[in-house]
Amino acid sequence: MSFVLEHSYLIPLLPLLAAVVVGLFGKTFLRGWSHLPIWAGVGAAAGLSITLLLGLVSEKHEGAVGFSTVWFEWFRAGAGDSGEIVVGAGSWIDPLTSIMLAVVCGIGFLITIFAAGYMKGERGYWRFFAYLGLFIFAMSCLVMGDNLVMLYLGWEGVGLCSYLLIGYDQHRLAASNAARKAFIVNRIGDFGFAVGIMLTWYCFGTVSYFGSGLGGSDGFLEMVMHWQTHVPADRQFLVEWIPFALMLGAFGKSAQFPLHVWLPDAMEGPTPVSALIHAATMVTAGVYMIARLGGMFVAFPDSLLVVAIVGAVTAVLGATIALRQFDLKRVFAYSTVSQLGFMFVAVGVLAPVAGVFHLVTHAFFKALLFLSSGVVMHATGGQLDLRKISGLKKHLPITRVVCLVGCLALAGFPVITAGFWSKDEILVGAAQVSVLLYVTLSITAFLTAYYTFRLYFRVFEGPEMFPQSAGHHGADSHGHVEHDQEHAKHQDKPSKHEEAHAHHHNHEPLLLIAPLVILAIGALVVGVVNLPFSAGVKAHSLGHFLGHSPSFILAHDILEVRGTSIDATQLATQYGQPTEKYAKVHWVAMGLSAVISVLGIGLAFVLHLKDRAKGDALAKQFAGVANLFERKYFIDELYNRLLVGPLRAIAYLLDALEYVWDGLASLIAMVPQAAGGAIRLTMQRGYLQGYALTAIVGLAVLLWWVLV
Amino acid sequence: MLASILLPEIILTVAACVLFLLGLSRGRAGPRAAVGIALVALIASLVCVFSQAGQISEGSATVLADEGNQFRISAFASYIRMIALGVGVLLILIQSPTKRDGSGNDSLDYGRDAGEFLGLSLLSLAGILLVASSNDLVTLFLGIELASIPTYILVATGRPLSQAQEASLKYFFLGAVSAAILLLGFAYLYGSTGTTRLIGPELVEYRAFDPATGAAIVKERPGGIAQMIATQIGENQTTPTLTGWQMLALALVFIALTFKLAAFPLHSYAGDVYEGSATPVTAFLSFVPKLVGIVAIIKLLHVFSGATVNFNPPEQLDRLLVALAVVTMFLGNVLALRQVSVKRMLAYSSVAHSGYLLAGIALFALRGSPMGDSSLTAVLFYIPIYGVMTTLALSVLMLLPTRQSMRVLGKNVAPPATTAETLEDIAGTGRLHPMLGLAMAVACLSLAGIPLTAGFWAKYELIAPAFTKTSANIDTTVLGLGVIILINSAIGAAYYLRVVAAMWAQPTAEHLPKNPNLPVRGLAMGIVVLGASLIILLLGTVSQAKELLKIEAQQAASGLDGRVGSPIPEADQEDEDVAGLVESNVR
Repeated sequence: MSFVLEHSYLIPLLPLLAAVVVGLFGKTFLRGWSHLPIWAGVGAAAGLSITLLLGLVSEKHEGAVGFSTVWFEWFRAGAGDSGEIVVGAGSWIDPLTSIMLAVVCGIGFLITIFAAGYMKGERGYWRFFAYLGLFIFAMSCLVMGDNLVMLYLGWEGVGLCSYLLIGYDQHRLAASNAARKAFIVNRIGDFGFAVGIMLTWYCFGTVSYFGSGLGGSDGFLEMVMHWQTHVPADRQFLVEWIPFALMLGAFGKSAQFPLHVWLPDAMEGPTPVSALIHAATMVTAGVYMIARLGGMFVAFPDSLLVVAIVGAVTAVLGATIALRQFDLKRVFAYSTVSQLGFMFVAVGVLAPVAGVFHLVTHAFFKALLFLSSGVVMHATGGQLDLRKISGLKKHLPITRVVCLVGCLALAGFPVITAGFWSKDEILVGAAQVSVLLYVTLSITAFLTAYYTFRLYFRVFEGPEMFPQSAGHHGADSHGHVEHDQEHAKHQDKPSKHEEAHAHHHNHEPLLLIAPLVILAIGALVVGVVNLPFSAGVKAHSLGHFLGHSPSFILAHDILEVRGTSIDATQLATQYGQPTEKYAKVHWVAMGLSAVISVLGIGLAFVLHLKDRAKGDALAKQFAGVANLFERKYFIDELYNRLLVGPLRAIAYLLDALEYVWDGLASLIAMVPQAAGGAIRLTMQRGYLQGYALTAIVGLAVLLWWVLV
Repeated sequence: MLASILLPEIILTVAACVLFLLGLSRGRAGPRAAVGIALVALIASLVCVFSQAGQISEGSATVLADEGNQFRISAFASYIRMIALGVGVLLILIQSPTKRDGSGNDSLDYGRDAGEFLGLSLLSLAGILLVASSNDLVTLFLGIELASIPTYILVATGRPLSQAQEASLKYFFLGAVSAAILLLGFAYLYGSTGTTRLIGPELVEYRAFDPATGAAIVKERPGGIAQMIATQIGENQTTPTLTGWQMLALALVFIALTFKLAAFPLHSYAGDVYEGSATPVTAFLSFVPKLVGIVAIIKLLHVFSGATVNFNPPEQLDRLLVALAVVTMFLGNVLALRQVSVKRMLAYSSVAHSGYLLAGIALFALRGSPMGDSSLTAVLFYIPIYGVMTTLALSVLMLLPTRQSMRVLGKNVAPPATTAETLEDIAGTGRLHPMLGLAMAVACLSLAGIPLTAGFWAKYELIAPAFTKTSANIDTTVLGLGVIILINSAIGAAYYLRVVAAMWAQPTAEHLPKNPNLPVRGLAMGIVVLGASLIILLLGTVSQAKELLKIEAQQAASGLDGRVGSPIPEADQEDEDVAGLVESNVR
């Protein structure tokens, strides 16, 4: 472990190197082997990350644990009244970082393996892997940076990779539009984030989280407890806006209402991308940020209230929309939006351990679900419409099992799945703050169980409906209903790949299945790391591990000083701080959430397996509501009307004005052109005597100018 | 002592003599060896220069001078010698032959005269070194002409194109005019100061006859022009007051030196001569004489501001420099805008760059700031970067596919040794040869001063002082000059970017072969293109590299005089002057 601590730069560097190698040589030399350098780079990073995590876990710790390494001084700017900004590129390694790194690199590695099988034969295969490597680089910078600028570097880096990968199939309009949408919506959030960083520096004079990095003796997280003494008096009115500005960034990246609209469209990207970036890692960056900067948010309680409310709204919104989506990946996408809402509620109600716990379990089961949908797509030729596929269990036996595991975890099936434990903790945390919040989330959990199993029963159970075009590789030409026609065009030309498929009907190649199985096991067992009671493993192990992170300690300290309505033992548990006795186990809440989950699954069983006609009839009966969900509350339409339309009108106006300015500018540009032409024709005609004359006249004029 | 000081010059001259002899041989081996010999001489000379620089910075003396004090090696002289030889290596490399019989390459044809050709190049480089180290009007003139005369020959050697012959003739005639003006100026200088020594001892004794008694008496006078001028600095004044004759002399000298710089009013030859020459010679012309001119101007300005630590020449000189700089910048940029031939465009671009250099010097003079100050540093920082980027641009031009034939008087003739020249010739070649396209893009972006290239920092350092407030009141001339440099950079960007656009965005011209072989290939060219591109990008992106060069330039700027912290070396021997005056050191 000490090796990893000393050479922490290797974790981002190796994937970056791999990406550079693939970027430079992928097109010409590596071609179909482009995945190998990425496997090596990301695999090494995963190995290092897991070594680091195991090393940190196995050691006994007291109090804060955090290792700061400054790799190099990145830049230094400004001086004078507002002070100098010094930014180092360096890592801050503590339990929170190590868990995030293990998730990012570990799951990232599994997905690169899956992708090698899934993307085989695609145009621009090398490009895809180069982007993946770049993504892992950016994401690891994001989670291991020791200051806000590093976080921002990673933040923008993953945003760029997300954009590139959503639009991977450049020739499809839907994909490039989705990529642009993702990028632009994220810009809105990132603007807030950038403002937050600037304000932080302006108020605290540093952007480092903690003191041992470059730029001052104390990091701003250490100062925030007594910020009144650290921030110059004339800047104090700005401090409380910092968390709100930062929050915007988190909402954008983690697809929270009202900036959630990009994530469902992002499913235009290849499925491994959806699994890695838009489910398991990148979109959880917002949760990581709020957990990391906990102190900053806790010091200004209003901000956390906003986070919790936005999280709850998003959770309900995502879950209800997911009820009436028919595209497999879209259901998962809205489910991701909804689950991220859960995590935001967790960090909002002062239960960051629960948030991070859910982040980890969600990473496993959602990656699993996306990858399973990838396998389905691989087998059905890009057909993901719930109404057109059914009963695939015979064709995809292993996928069916692992997908069932994922669905159970997402639905929070009691005891045996990881999702149950993490969701339960969030519900308990919410209950401490407000009953309304608890009820809202419980209803959402019920809906989650229902829509998850609606999907499962439709796809894998019931009468068989296996599309005829099966076998066509539809990795990036799936799409939701509107794109079906376009899709049909794609199918006119059977690829080589398709012909190969016609011969052997193995829809579950090893490369695709192996990562799925590993993720499925994870989706079942990772729950044990943070059980609320001791059962073989100690209770709240993850919590106590995370509790050594200075971010959690500092936030908890602030809370202790300020005081909250939450029971002290419970609060300490939610922050992973050592307590004299364990917080009491909330058996009632646990029982309720178990019942809710089973009820949801049962309802789905009734309406979507036993009697599908009845389910359809029910939907017709409430056509208005169903339509509202199906059309995603008309939010996209609303944005188009209220924002895009007016902006476009302004753009046209400015374009017209631009035409005038441009004309004026061209007029100015004409002056040197004309002068050049004139001089060329008069003074540069090639006559030696003319040149001599120029010289002598020039000499005379200059002498007059100087001497007289 | 004299020999050890001039060792770098001597090495180059001896090597040039060897090369001239080699030119007599008729075999193939001779021409092939010529480049090797030239390079070895350059490297050996460079080693000497470095060891002298080491003596200056580490030893007790800040300046090395011979007994007669005719040559002085200050930190400034060392720096100039280093960059001249450093860029000289690139310039010699692109002259290397690739033809099997060693008679040149596709853009340059020196026939059997490889030895002579390279020998002349070495002599010209030796001229710069001499200019850098000279401390006397006579040696200064010698150096300037040693650097120039070989270039007149280089233009015409082995290039039986009428344009080349015409170019050579024009160059020579106008060169003669400029030399005449220069000598006239030097004569007035001597006449008005009584000595040809630039920086001498404070006072020298001389024997004279008392007109009343007829007896021999001993009188004293300042030992050099600098000391003479220093006596003209009145009390409570920072600048010397020059007499009318001195002013006239200086104006003549500076205007004559604009020929070397290809600056107004003696810039007119640039287009014809640069275009008529073979591309490697064009590269040579756009660096070597320019450096000579700049060095001479800096030296004389220094002397004529009294060689004080505060470099503050008289107001009339400021005015002259500003006028020269402004007119030159506008002329160069405006003329370059309308050129179709890339070579001609680069010729006028070099005029514009002379303007920038003059503007830097003018800013320095105007602000009257201390020696190591930003503007002079910026000029010294600018020169090597300019040399590398213009050499890179011309090298790439050399490497681009040649047009297959040329129609002259209705007949298809294949002209000897021509490279791609017009924008039409290079259209679309970037896509055919991406590496060359990238290198050209680097060169052009750097010349235009786009960030992430060395050219950006060169311009930045040059412009920044104009906008730095040194005193409470703002000098409008300084500010105006800064703004004019900015405007000219904007005009310049237009034609540099046009080259990049032509290479990458336009369709390939029809008259180009579909699958062309690149005309000149060879290790030497590869080294130049790759090396120069890397240097430009390295200086542009790695701030440490940039700082390193800047510190060198700064040391050179503050060591211009070599007197800071150390007395003038003693000259014990008696020395007969041209006028029959006997000098001896009074100390």
